[in-house]
Parts: sequence; structure tokens; C-alpha cells
Amino acid sequence: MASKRALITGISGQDGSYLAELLLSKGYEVNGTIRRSSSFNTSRIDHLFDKIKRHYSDLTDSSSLNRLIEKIQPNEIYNLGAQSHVKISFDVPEYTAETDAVGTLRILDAIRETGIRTKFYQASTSEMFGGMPGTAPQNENTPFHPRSPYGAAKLYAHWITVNYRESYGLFACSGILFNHESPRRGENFVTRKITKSAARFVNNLQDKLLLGNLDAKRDWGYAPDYVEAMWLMLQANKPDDYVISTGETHTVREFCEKAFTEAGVKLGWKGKGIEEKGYDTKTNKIVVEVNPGYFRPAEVEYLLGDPSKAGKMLGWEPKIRFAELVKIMVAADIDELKK
Amino acid sequence: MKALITGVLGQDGSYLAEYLLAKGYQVVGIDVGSSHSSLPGLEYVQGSLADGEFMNGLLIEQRPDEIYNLGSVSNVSRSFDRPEETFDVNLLPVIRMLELLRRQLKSVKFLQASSSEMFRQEPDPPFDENSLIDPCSPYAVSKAAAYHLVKIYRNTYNLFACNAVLFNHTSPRHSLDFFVSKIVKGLVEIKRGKKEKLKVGNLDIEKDWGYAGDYVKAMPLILEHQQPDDYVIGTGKYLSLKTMLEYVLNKLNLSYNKVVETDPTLIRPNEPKRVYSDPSKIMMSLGWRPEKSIEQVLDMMIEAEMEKQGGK
Repeated sequence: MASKRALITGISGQDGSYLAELLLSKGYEVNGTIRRSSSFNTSRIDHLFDKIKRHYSDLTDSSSLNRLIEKIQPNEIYNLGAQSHVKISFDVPEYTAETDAVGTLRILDAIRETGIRTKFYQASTSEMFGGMPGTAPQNENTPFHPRSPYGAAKLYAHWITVNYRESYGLFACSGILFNHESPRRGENFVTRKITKSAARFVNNLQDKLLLGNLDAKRDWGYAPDYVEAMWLMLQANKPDDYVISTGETHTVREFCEKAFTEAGVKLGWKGKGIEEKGYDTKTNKIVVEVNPGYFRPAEVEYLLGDPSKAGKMLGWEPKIRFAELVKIMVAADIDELKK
Repeated sequence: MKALITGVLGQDGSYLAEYLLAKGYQVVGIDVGSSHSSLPGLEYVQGSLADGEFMNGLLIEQRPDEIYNLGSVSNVSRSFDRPEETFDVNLLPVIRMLELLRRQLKSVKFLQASSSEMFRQEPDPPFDENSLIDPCSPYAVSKAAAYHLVKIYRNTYNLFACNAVLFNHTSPRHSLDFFVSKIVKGLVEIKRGKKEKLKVGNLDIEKDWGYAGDYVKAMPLILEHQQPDDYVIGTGKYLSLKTMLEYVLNKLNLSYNKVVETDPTLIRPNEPKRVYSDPSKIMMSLGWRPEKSIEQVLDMMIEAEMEKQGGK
């Protein structure tokens, strides 16, 4: 039997690169779209360059998507490409909608127009819930209250995916993924910023780590576990939507403490609000400061997912939890500094 | 007071323009059509809502006190064939206008015409401002996302931005793409001997029907209130398409079995069966009430259509 063909948009991102590795290990032919850009970073997939097929395309270019889908005739499409930074979406809401919302519509339409029988995975996000107090833990039936242009654009994409499944019988699934991290997380995301800073701090390379809201609570999982859930959704008997999370929540503050502990520093805290500071309890040196510049215009306070449906229907559960996740990320950043 | 209305040539736009002009507003209206009915006092500008540069330029030049965003691709069935155009007209311009307001025109009030299409059967109707949003057409998805963006911009930047969630409303000015206008026109044609049969889709659908002329009166009320907020606008009652059809048949002395034919291609995929409102919030806090019953509106529509087609 010929191997299955997969097409991944956003293959050069954190999730795309792990998913490509997973699918290669399962014998798939892996195709990925790359955006043409003079400064685009492909470091996460450089080690896969001879194993995957790369195609220039863009979620904002329908005809290129149609041609690509006709040419590849994929069995599975994973739509991971997105402008995925919440705070940046307040600066570029229109671009975020073009890429994250209508980009998804364009792929669904390309599937419908070409008539190719492919399964479709949409990368949805816990940001669609908006962390409303009293709704946690959030599951597949929790009402959505997006609080950012990113959350609203992703919600459009989620709904249109459900709509195409219901109206045209497409095998289309939306995975509502809570935060998931790894050593490949972009450096402008808070977790990676912290682990990188902890690694630099012990090597005397960085003075202070500047953070936004220390009390924001997140359900953080490990990206390689989460891409497995994506694949499982497309192997199920029928298409459906699933929340993917660990079922645990921790504050940004806890993430900091744990990361610096891994790096051999015990953090203490003093002050309140924007005056709060984290210090090295051994030397009293200030390590963490709050910078309001990192506050989101509208903060999502509390995210905690209930992944029991994925557990029951897909047999999925997270293997790596909070403590181990932080450990893996700090160790990787320390390793990288050694290079 | 200066208002800018998008989609001013549409049913709601034209009623709203008349109403605001009568209240003494200065009214600027935009739409894509080249000609417009000569509404005295209306400053008409031809252009597309989906053209970002045009819209930004116009808003900066005009500096209205209030914006009523009524322009949209409003046909649900057609949105299945043209989902991207629906997105481009129904969602992107909302983002662009809200961005312009928060960056440069913070004191401008903004009213977004949202739609009851955002709701579906589950959980049970009636639907109010807190009901679950679960859109099931590309049109509804675009309107639901726009609805959330209005809330996001209000909460994030303190803009005076409001959603008017309008349940079905009709009038003699309703476009022929819509069910009620189509049956009135079709049955009057049959009455006149111009054709023999009227083709219909699923008649079991039950909806909350009101008069467009009443619904536009809720819009300035929403912007006059001290606090920006979202309101459901409807009658709180529902009627099946079949009952409405029978009412018109009766008025025209036509027999259902002789003139009505079911056409399965007119049945929309995935259409909610019963959609009606709970308008208590707008009734209690703003004192708005629908004035005309749907029967009165149907009578107006039949009369207007008879006149249009000539003779008695």
C-alpha cells in the first residue's frame, strides 16, 4: 500500500515541526507549506529538509492553495499555519483575520472545490474561551468569549470548520488546544522567554527578566503530546471537536519559580502589582520585574481545560506534565547556550 | 448630530435614513449602487464597504457622530456559494472601522447590525443576549465573529460600540432574495395570471417576524443610552413559513394545493427549525416596542406588490 500523504500548513512552526516528525515516523509522505519571506526562520525543520516536501504557498492566496491540494492529493491536511501571537493580534487584527480566519475558509473551499477526499484538522485554541471566571474547567460545550482579535479570528475558523463538516459532510475536526510548549516554542512566548532567561541567568548572561501578568493562569502541556492528539482525531471513526489539555493550571509566577529552580536559583518575591520583583534568595539580586508593556490590552486570566472527551474517545492523555515540561525546556536552553 | 449609514440602499438602511432625517440628523449614506432613490436630505456616497481605503478616507473626512453598520452580504443561502465574499463584506470592514475608531476617532459611536442567524435550536429558544452562539452558515459565522469583535473592542478600548441582534424583519422594501418578498411577489403574479406555480423550500421553519420600520427605531435608542451594550431586537413570538404563506394565499383567494410546489433545491442545508427572541432587555431598559404585527406588514407588502404589478 502506498504511504499516506499529509499536507501541513505552518510546518516550520513548533507544532508543524513535531507533527512532521510524528507523521514521518508513521511512514507518511509529508508535505508542508512555507511562506516566501526574506527573513523566514526554518530552523525547526532544517533537520528534516531531505525528508519532507516543501511548497511555497500562503494562506492568503487561494489559487496557490487549490493548485497545491490538486497536486499533492493529500489524505490528511493539518492547518497549523497562523498568526499565533495574542498580543500582536491587537496590533495587526486585519492580518490576523486574513490569515487565521479566512485562511482556514480558503483551505476548506479548496477541498470542496477540488472534490479531493481528504481529512482536515483545524488548530483551534483555548483563547476562544477567553478565560471567563466560572467557566473552568472548559470543555467542548463551554460557550466562547474571545477577548482578542486572535481569539475571534480563531473562533471564526472553528465555526466555519464545524459548518463545512455539517453542511458538506467533510471529515473535518477542530482541536481546541490549550497552551502547549516545548524547547521549540517561539522566543516571544512567555514560557520560552522564562526558560531561556533562566538558562542565561545561571551563565551570567542576563540581568533581568521582564514579564507581564504574573498571576495569569494557564493549562500548559507538551507540544509533542498535543500533535499526537491531532493525528488521533483524524484516525477516529467520525469527525468531531476535542479539547486537548492537561487538566492542571499554573500561574506564570509558578512557571518562573520552577524554571529558576531547574537552573539552580531559588526565587523569592517582594512588592505588589507592577512593583513586584522576583529575587535570587541567595544573593538578593533582582531577577524578575513586571513591565506593563507586556500586559495584554485585555487579559485572559484563567484557562483550565477538561480533556476527558479526548481521553474517552481517542484514548489520548498527556504524558508530560507541568514539572517535567519546565525541566525539559530549561535543560534544552542550557544545552543550547553551551553550543 | 451626524450619522453615517452603510448599506443605505438596503431595506434597513433606507428606513433608518428616513427615520434619522426626520429626527433632524444629518445623514451620510454609502452603498455600492450607482443610483439611489431621491431621499431628500440624504448625502449619498457610492463605494464599497469592503474597500478599506475608501472607508477610512470617508470616515476621516466625514467625522460622523454615529456609525450604523448595516451593509452586508445578507443572503444566507448565497453565503454558502460565496463564503469568502461574505467574510470580506461582513467581517473585515468591521475590524477596519473599529481599528480606525480606537486609533483616531474614539468618540464616534458604532452600531453593528448583528443577526439572529447566530443562534440555532440548541439550547431551546427564546434567545436573548446571553444565549449560546452557535452559527450554522458562512453568513452566520461571519456575523457571529463580527459580534464578538464589537464586544472585544468595547471591552478593550472603551469604545461606544454596540450590537443590535436583529431577528427576522421584513417590509415592502425587502429584497426579493428573501422568502417573504418572494412569496408575496410570486403569489401576486399567479393572481395576475403571469405564472402558475410558486416553488418553496422547507415550510416548517418557524421564525420571529417583525417590521423593518420598527426595528430601525431601536438603533438610535441603543446609541443614546448612557452605556454601550448589546440588545436583542424581536417580537418574542414566532410563526411558521407555512402560516405566513397561508395568510397571503388567503388574502389573494388562492388555493395552496393548486399553486404551491415544493422544490428540494430551495431547502437550506442545516437550517435551524425554530428561532425566536426574548426582547425583554430592550423593552425594559430602552422602552422599545414593535408597533406593527406581521399580519399588518404582510398586508402592506401585498398592497405594494399589487400596485407595482398594476391594476386591481
